Amino acid sequence: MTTRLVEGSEVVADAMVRAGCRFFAGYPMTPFTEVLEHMATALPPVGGVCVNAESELEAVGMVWGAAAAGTRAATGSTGQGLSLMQESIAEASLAGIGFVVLNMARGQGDYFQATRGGGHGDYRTPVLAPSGPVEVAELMAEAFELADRWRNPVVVVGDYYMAHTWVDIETPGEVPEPPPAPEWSLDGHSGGSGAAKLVSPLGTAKRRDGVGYDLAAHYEGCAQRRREMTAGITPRAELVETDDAEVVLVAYGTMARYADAAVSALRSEGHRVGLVRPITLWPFPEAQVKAAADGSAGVVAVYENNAGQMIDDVRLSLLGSSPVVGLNSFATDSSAFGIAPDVTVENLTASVRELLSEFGQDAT
Amino acid sequence: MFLIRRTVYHSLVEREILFTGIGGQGVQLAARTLAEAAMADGRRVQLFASYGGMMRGGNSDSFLVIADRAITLPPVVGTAWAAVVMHHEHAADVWAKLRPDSIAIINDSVVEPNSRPNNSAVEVVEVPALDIASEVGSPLAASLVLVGALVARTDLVSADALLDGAAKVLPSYRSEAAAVNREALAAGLKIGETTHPAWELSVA
Repeated sequence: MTTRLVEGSEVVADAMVRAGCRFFAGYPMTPFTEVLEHMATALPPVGGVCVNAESELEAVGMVWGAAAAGTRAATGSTGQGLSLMQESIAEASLAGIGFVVLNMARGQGDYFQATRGGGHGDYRTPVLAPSGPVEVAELMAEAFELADRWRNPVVVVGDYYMAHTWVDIETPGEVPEPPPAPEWSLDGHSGGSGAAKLVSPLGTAKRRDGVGYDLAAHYEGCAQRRREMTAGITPRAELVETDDAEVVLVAYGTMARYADAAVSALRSEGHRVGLVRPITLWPFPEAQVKAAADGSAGVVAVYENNAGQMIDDVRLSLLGSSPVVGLNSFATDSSAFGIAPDVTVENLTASVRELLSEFGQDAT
Repeated sequence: MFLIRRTVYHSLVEREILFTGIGGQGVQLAARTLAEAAMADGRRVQLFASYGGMMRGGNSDSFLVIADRAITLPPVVGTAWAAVVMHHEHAADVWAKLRPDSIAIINDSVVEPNSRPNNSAVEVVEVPALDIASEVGSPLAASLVLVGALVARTDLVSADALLDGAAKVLPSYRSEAAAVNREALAAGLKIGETTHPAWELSVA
């Protein structure tokens, strides 16, 4: 193995290819653009296909088709492009078609878009939030496994920081073969005998059966599948120094890296501060947040680069058992790419000191 | 699943180098050249690149961290040990982040004389980078003269690793520039003696 200096976007692309992704479609938009460029380079040598689509609408449509044919597939964009894709993400969930959607956000204003979605119907999508390029490699394989297992779109959240951070990373060995197409997938025939069938948001049927779709049974099946998926995915979080923490920070993605560094700095001065970093944003790690807060926390502080979104999930986790405050008023720079110059370890450390003086006891 | 981690306290030396300029000045190339050299020396690196949507004229900034071990700092650092400043337009944030014991390498050919570190304790090295780069063959290599000067003053990376970095960071369609870029780095390496050794406090 050799170590290379690699852009975060390339780490994301490599992780998808290694996870078996063989079809990718998208439309350029910062900070998603470089992922699309790297996929265009990485897929053809392994027999895959990458398409720069006319727009995000076509991109997700192509991915829906590829996934229905049994190919591991993915798309992505940033907020606006993902808004366009919401209808198809919802329909794919109802059709039982799984693929991966990269939500390369500008800041964290698209937390609700990622965790709730804007599509129709009684659907949810699992959401994974790596803290940076290093964790992407691990979580991407899991994202495709979840998409296959639950036949449901899965969202992986990144941002400009992750896309544009170059890291020294060991180049992994040979790219493994993708898994075979699942039994339910389409093979180009919609009639006849055997496995030939239709897959649609209205259900799965054989055209020759001539009885049409049973919508009642289908939606009941969708609801049952969603219940099983909700129960079947273990919520994950990383807990840093939460045992005796008087201030428990909650942060995901890039913001968690600032929070982690702030916890180190404050702990080295004797302050009792901890961090819960949700890794799955849906299902949300409610038990972990509750356990961390029930230790000795005077206050739970949600550090997010938006006007307050994940704080709702934190409040739902605690059901009023601890005070919850938001640390989330940041100016953004002129790029509008979600870079907030005042998001620094120093500023966060100062904010936590204020909380300690209000909610905590003197430093030990 | 609960992943529980304890903070590890150790005497990690992390060197934060800020790069600033405008699109087209070679800011990103300079940062990546230095990062490649640090990797060749066996150190860990993390490089965050922030730039606007245009090739020329917009802000172009880089936040490079070089360390003895795995990097713990987030992408944008709040204070820094060194700065490489190609243009004054977006330099205010960089000046504000420099610690008193830091060093600033300034492109004296472009940066206005009134754009300087806020703290007078910062060592300032003014380099006529455009003139020097033109002398070795290309004004486009000015940012690499500054990187050479930073290494001359700090021994942040070994000279050989730095010179070899010139070819590593260029895409194949720009490979013809490797030779002059190497000359620009070499010219920068001749600017002064070590005043700010990067690793003398390093604890293995």
